Amino acid sequence: MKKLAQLAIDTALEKGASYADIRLIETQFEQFIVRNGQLSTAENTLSLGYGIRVLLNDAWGFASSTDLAPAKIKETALMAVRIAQSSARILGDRMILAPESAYEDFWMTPYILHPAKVPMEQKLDLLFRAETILRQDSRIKMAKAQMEYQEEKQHFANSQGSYIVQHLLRSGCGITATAVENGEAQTRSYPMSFGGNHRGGGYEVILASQLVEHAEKTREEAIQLVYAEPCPYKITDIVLGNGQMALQIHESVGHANELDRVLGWEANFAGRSFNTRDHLGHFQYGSEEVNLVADNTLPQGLSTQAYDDDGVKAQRFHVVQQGVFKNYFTTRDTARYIQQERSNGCNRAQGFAHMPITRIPNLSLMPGTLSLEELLGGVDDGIYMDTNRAWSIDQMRLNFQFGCEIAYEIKKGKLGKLYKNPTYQGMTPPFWRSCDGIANQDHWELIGVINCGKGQPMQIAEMTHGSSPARFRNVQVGIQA
Amino acid sequence: MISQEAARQITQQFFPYLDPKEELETVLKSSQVQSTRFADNGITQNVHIQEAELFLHLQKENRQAKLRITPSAIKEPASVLSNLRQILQNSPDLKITFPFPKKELPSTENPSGFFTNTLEHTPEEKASVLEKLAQQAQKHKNFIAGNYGTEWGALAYSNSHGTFGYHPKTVGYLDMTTTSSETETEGGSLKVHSDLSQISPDTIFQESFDIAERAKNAISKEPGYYPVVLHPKATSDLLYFLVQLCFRTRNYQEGTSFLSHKLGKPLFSELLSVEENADHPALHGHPFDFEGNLRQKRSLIEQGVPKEIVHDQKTAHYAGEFSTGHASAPTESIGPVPNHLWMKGGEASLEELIARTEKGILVYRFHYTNVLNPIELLLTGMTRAGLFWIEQGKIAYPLKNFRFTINLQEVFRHIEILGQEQVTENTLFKENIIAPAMKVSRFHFSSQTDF
Repeated sequence: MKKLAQLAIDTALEKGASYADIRLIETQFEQFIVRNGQLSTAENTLSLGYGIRVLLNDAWGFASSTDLAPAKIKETALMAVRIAQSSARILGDRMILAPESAYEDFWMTPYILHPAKVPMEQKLDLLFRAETILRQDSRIKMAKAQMEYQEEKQHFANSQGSYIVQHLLRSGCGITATAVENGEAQTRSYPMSFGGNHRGGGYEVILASQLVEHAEKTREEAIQLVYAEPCPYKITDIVLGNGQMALQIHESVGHANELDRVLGWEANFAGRSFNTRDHLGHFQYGSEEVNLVADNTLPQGLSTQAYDDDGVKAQRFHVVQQGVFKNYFTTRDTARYIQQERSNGCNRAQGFAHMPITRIPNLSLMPGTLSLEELLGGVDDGIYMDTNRAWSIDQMRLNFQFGCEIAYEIKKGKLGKLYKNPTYQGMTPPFWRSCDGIANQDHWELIGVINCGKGQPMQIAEMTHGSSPARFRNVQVGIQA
Repeated sequence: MISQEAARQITQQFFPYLDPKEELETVLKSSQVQSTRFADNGITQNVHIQEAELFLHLQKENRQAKLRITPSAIKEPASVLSNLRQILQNSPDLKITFPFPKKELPSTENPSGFFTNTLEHTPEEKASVLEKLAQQAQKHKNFIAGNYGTEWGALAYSNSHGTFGYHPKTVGYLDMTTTSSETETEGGSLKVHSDLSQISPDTIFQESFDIAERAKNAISKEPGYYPVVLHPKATSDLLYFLVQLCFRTRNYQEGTSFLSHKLGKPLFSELLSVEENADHPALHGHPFDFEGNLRQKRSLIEQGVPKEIVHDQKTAHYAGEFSTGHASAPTESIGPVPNHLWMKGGEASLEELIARTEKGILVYRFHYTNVLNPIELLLTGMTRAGLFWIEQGKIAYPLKNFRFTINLQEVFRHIEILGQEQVTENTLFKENIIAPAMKVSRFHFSSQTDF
């Protein structure tokens, strides 16, 4: 692999590139889905290929291929050079790299039991057992249990002399039940919606989720939701559970602080950000309770790796500290726009075929000091919501509307009646400034997001958001009839 | 680009190693993308991506095994088969599997929908076009951002009964936003066509620039219910979600779709007719699916009445029907769903729809539309890049953007007039959609944003 990598880099440098790198990636992916009593998906994927990035006259070029023949690698490197040459014709923003040392290193995601070593029979048995419990009521029309793992073996080399090998492993699982009665359908998921919860690690992540043990509760909640009252339309205090907090963090802090987005590089597709560079260091993003930390060294984090796709070491830093905005997510080619001497390591690509771009790292809300009882106790009349079901936010990351699977009335600090179809909306800074309570570390949990889409062509990335339940005041909930 | 012969060789290399009781089908999905992304009047990202995925499906005695592999990862065909057999051995007895087709499939290097000029368009040519557009933008103190790309994709199907099909196609696109550097107002335009020569960059620029100019000094308006005139791009966004929420066959059969138990009932305006038609010259779908079945036209909605759904072999068996050739890649777990949509339009131009509106809002496009409640067809999203107040048949002034929260059935029930059709694109999923402009009598804008 090292020889092939060097061939690509040498080819680019011979043609005048000032920098070149290559990522050779072998990916193994396995997914099983049991749905309504049948094995509906049994996917095994093996992919192998490489992507070459070249900087020439301060412009990027990128080319990828699955053909590992040396002649083809040269050809792909030459295509990347050609693309960079055409980019250099009209440069808006010059791509000037922040310095980073060269590294020779190996890193792998720690795990206890590799999923490839677990017999397929055992995996399917676990899924069928959980799914069977979900279906033990005729009102359940869709019952699903799923698990997956992905292992990426990456070889990264660049023209500065770095050669980094990383083996990244993530695993996850979940169950979902949809109850239908009288034209009404309600879905309940565990431990999270949209495919379950995922972490860095092996089969121990699957076992720790205890799908079978939670299947009955999941089923019963789906059924109860069908008969529940709809979430009322009013302005009230809300407490968001861990699952929904992950989405809140992701959409209204994560994407808003990708520096490439702030610079306008995503303007056509996903949009820009209200959090302009003049806010850096002093903008009141949230209340003093709010501390949001980016950390690609986080154990079990989905974007945890020793180095990003620029070859920059993983770091931990505040994005918001005691409510004040402190830092964007940067890469080697964007760091200079905020006078940062070094990238904070947020460049990643989906697989080998795509060019790395700025991605949200693991981003977590630090725990507060309240017990859950104290958190709820501070609400006289409000609503508790959890497990994300829907999300939409404007192109500047300001106006949002999010929906959850389940909600409960909070009356005098206690959870009361069930509500279905809960939604809430707000504007990002006033919403975070209305946060006046966060539960403590006893309730802090890691929630994995595996479907973050960005870019043209579209790429998917994964990251983890840790959070405890949190309380927000005077929020619009529900939908006007 | 993988030729027909190369695709045949890749997909059929395993057949000599099969046991007599085994059946194997293989599908090769290959693509080449040259995409030049630009922002701030310069190129920010410029990529040339080549990908190939081979899907293998082995069946024997009511058991099956599936594998997806890049051709580069195949060391020996026999060893790939050996992996598949191990998976098969551990798979449950499905009680029923479906035989692979034995019919002839289309196989040609040059179908309609394949244009050499699109395939051969170079990064240098794209840079040259963008250079001129950037100069125009700079003259007007604007920034352009967007994506200018050309793609080639091919689907090849083989099975151990001798069936083979190969179908390539090309897609060109220019998707652009123009933003005023003084007022930060934006306008957008895009065009998608198999033949890149049918896309006029100057026209795209002018359209997006005009909207950005007209959007200056936008005024706030109270959220509420208003009549709207929707540009075809906005209509296509809503149409996409209507079809996804109603016509995913697996959800329909499970009883969890809005459409479950309602096929054949008048649910929408009589003006609404939607066809699933991969053969339409503007939609250029592959003529066969991942199970080697020919893709059929379906009348999804006829004059407001949902009529037909689509099938793969499994859902067809459940319904007592035949596959309509809508099997998606085995890795896509949503099941069969239409994705070559043609909503029939009327005669009126966009200007005529505006002229026939006493008071209302002109919407050019939506942003981040998403589903709040699938079985109630409840959607939310934002307006973007062109929102204007109409008064007495004329555009009166620009508006600040709204969030909308709507019931799709109510929107498609209250169509007053349909405009002319236009080919547009779901920018998220890169699928063409033909949709008209339309005037709807009642549309709910639920809140506002700051710009």
